Amino acid sequence: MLQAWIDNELGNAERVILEQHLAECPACSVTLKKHQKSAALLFEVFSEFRLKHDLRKGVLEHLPEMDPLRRSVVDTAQRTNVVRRGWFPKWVPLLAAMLLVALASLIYSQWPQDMIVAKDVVGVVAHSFGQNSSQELGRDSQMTARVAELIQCGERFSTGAGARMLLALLGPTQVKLNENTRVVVRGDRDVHIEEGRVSFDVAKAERKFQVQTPSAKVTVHGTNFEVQVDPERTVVTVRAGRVTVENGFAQAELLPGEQAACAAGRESLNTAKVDADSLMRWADGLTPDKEAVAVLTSTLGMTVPAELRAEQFFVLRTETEERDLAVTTFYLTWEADKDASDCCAYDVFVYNDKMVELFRQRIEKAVFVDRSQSSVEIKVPGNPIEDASVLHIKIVPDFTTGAKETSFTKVSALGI
Amino acid sequence: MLDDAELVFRCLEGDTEAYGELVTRYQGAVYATAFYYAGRYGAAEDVAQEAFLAAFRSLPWLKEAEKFGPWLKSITCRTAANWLRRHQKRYLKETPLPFRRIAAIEDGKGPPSDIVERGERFERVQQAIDSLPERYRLPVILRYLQELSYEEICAFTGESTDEVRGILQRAGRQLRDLLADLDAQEDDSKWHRAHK
Repeated sequence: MLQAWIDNELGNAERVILEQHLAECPACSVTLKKHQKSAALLFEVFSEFRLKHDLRKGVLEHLPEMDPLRRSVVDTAQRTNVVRRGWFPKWVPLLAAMLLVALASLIYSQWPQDMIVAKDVVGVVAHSFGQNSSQELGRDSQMTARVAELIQCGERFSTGAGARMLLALLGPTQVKLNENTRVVVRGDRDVHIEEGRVSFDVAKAERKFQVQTPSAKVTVHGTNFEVQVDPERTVVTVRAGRVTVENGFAQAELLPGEQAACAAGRESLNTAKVDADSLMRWADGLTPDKEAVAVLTSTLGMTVPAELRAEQFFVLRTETEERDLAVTTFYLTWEADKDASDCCAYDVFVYNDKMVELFRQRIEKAVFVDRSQSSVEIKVPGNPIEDASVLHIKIVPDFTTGAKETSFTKVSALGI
Repeated sequence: MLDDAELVFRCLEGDTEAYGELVTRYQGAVYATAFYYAGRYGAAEDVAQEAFLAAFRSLPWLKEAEKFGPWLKSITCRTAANWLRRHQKRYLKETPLPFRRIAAIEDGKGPPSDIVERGERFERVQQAIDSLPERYRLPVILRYLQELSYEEICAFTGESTDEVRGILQRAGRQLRDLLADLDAQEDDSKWHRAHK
């Protein structure tokens, strides 16, 4: 109140009260004196810096140099608080909005079609064998899944009995579906498995890759692993890298060669050492079809590391010290496998020393499935092969008939 | 007397005299604010003029004409800050201290010893004000440099009368304690009260 009194800012009533009090109270009078003194000091010190010239003239002189103010359309009778920026006609905002809409639709119509497609496309069906179907998000009907078909977010894929399917996702990540499997691709790094057996080859990236099953959640960054889901439980097997498995109660980190099983509604998460290589061998035969790879590279601008397999080549010398032998029959020998039910058929190509194909022959799957047999005889059609010093025999697996390769140990020929 | 809003509307309609009236009304406050920022460099008048011109230029963008004062204050602060930034390099090399004395010598008042003492006293006052909470400083400068009334201070800072009164009361008490050992050179009669 003292300050206000000094500054002559008290109301009449307040001033009378204060002045009365000051007359009676010596302590307050002393304080007031001090206060007055410091106020006087401040006024005095500042006095020499006080504004000495009227700024009005200087400012007004400079105003004409500036752009004249646009006339405002303020309605002074109505006097709203807001000063309207009334310098452009009323229809200008409307016109601007219309122009924007027109421009937007023009851009939209000119936008490259495949870029719109690629927006929620996360991959392509790279290989399909057997009764497989796909179902788009929000649709009831199922369609036959075809190779080179684009995969959209939310799409569900199912494989039938004995079927296989390979989905190539951006990344590139490969998702391989065993028979009787249902998965939903929720994104390029998010897959839900409803049931069945799925092998993953996940591209290494900062973003985590997530696999969800009814009873567990699997998180990785880049690795090779398999998830097997049946109504009761989820089994995760790891072949390479590091995988985290959680089931809402527990969490386990798996290293190569380890397996974790978790049952729905059960707290425990059991881990064990397994032979991941042999467990996951079924997935090795699945490679992307050329057609699908072309779609991936052209539409999605992705480079796919398609597996380039060396073909098995055998070289056979037909010359002895005296003369070249004429070949009439070939023999292929292999290691009989205990579990040969999933073996694939083979095509055998025979070339001469100039790599000209002489003939080819197919060895059916049944030959390998029959465990009593470990060699096959191939007769040269027509005349014996005579004028070649070296023969090349190429053996090519046909994975459409089975996923398992047979290891050939010997190729021999009968020369006359 | 016309209120600020009315004057603003007139300016927008092209009446430059109305702006002249606003300049007259606010020049003390704008100058004091400019002094608070750039006073050390003797640039307060230039900055104040610049601020008024900048405000005139952006007048069409003033949203609430009633709040011309606080709006002008923000423009003044911005102008002053820009001015400082523009001239910082030049002034960084010069120490701002001797300015007071030079200004005093130019005035040619009093003997040299007196001038030196005045310079020192100004420094003390300046330091005392700098030690106040930030929101006290501008009202104090407005009050003591330009002797603005509480009402004028409110119109410029946008605070209520009670707030300004409280601020000046508390600031006054702090300054009194900080500057207790300094004496005003002349007697108390020299300062004058603000006219209401």
